[in-house]
Amino acid sequence: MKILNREFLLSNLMNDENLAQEIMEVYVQSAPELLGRADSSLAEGDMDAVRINLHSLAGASANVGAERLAAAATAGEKSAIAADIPNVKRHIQMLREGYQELIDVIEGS
Amino acid sequence: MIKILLVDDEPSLLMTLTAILQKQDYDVTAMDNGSDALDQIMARDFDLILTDIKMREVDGLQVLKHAQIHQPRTPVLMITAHGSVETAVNAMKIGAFDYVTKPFKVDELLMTVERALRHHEIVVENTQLKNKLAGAEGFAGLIAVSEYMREACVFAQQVSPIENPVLLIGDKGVGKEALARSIHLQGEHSRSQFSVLDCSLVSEAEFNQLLPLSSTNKFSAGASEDQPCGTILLSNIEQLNFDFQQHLLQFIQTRTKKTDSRNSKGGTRCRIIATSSSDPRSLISDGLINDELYEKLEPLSMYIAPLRDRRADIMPLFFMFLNEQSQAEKGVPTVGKTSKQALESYQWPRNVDELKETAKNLAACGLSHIDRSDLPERIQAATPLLDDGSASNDDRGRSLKSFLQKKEAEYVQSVLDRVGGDKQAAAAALNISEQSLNKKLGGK
Repeated sequence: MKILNREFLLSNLMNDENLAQEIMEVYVQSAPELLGRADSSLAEGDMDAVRINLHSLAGASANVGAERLAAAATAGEKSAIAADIPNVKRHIQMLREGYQELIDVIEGS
Repeated sequence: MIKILLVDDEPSLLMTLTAILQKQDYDVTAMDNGSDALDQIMARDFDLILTDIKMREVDGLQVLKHAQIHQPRTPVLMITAHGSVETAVNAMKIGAFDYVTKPFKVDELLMTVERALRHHEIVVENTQLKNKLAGAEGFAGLIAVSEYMREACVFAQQVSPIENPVLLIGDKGVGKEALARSIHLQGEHSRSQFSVLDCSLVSEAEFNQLLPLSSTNKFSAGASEDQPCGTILLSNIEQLNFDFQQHLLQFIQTRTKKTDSRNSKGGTRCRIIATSSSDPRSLISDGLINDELYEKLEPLSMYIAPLRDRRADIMPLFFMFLNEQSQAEKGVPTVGKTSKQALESYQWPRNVDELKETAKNLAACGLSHIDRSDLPERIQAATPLLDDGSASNDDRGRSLKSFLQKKEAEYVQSVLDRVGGDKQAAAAALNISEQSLNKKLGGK
């Protein structure tokens, strides 16, 4: 499982590099917002909102080829459905770390 | 341009999908929340709605339900994450067309979109077709756009609750049996059998079995006394031999319900509908029909005009037959303007039967569009109608005066036929003297 599968997004966009770049920028901005909302919802005990935000993050991550983040967000969503708060916390932490890894990969490329 | 409403509250996904769809030349309206999508559904017509299921506040299921109310023909595709297919399947149970899973594979996404759009196209075409048919006034499945057929439908409606014998007069193939079936379906006998007996072919055994003068028969088996037991259609009544005519007269007198119950002798009741391709009055004068029998049939008689005299019925009937005969997977073909002109101009000597056969043959070809060149040569060659829709191939080269005289005579004759040959009644209906009527009929 890759941190970033560039080819996946590019192939979906018929190898339009500029569009892929734009979409990646939008994702890089929206992912922390979703993660932040999931975190604050967890603090408020609103597990439904946690689930929805992690679900959106999973979908958005999969769309751009951020495979590890997509997997972690999906696992977090499942924990939220099960109301398994310790695991939700653990996955949110994993997602923060994973996001930083992704940024490093993008900036390093 | 095909209009697609796209709804996803995740901006990068919305952007990706928008780009993919726009590259295919679709007109995409992208909404990043369900609430705005509901407003869009109210404001514009879409050919397809593609919505994420799980969204904050207004979710995809609400978008689906809203679309079902306000744009019921528009297919809705649900977007769901891989592994969350159950919700999408539930959405399909309440009417979503299909779903696509995230992350997308472009080919699969576009194939699903195209399939949904094709489905939408078929639904729209069928709805247009149904509207065309619904626009035609009718009765119990009959198409009636022309004045003639409207009158026939009013007649059918009036006689269906009455059980006295009915006589339908008209050329071969004009739809006498269809009208008879409509009368049967709307009457008291509708739950019982509708039997057709061709008087030109019937044997004595068959005739006695179907119309017995004793108390029971195959037709009425199991029916208790004074119970409706069906309709017997006697086609080509003018060809029934004299002995059978006598038998039929006796049958009518004893086995059908009388409007005057004092004359009723009880027993199972049948409705008799007879049809004739010739004017029965001329048959009486030729000694071919028992005048007493004619007197029983004549009070509820109706003339059905040939198709060439009721051209307004041609296209609605043609569409109905095409719809009936078309292969489900290919849908109903569209009909070009010049094909329509040819169909409406042709004389249809075999009337509705010929129109139906033509539609059936064209449907069998599996065409998506019918051009004039697809029509049989004899129909392609039909002379275009004049504005009043009344010209025929025979009218070419005639002077206006003789054309009008001919048309006037035809109209006067049709009114005369409608009133069963009663010249006094025809003259009254036309608001002219009997002497003028005779003159217009060419001194008949």
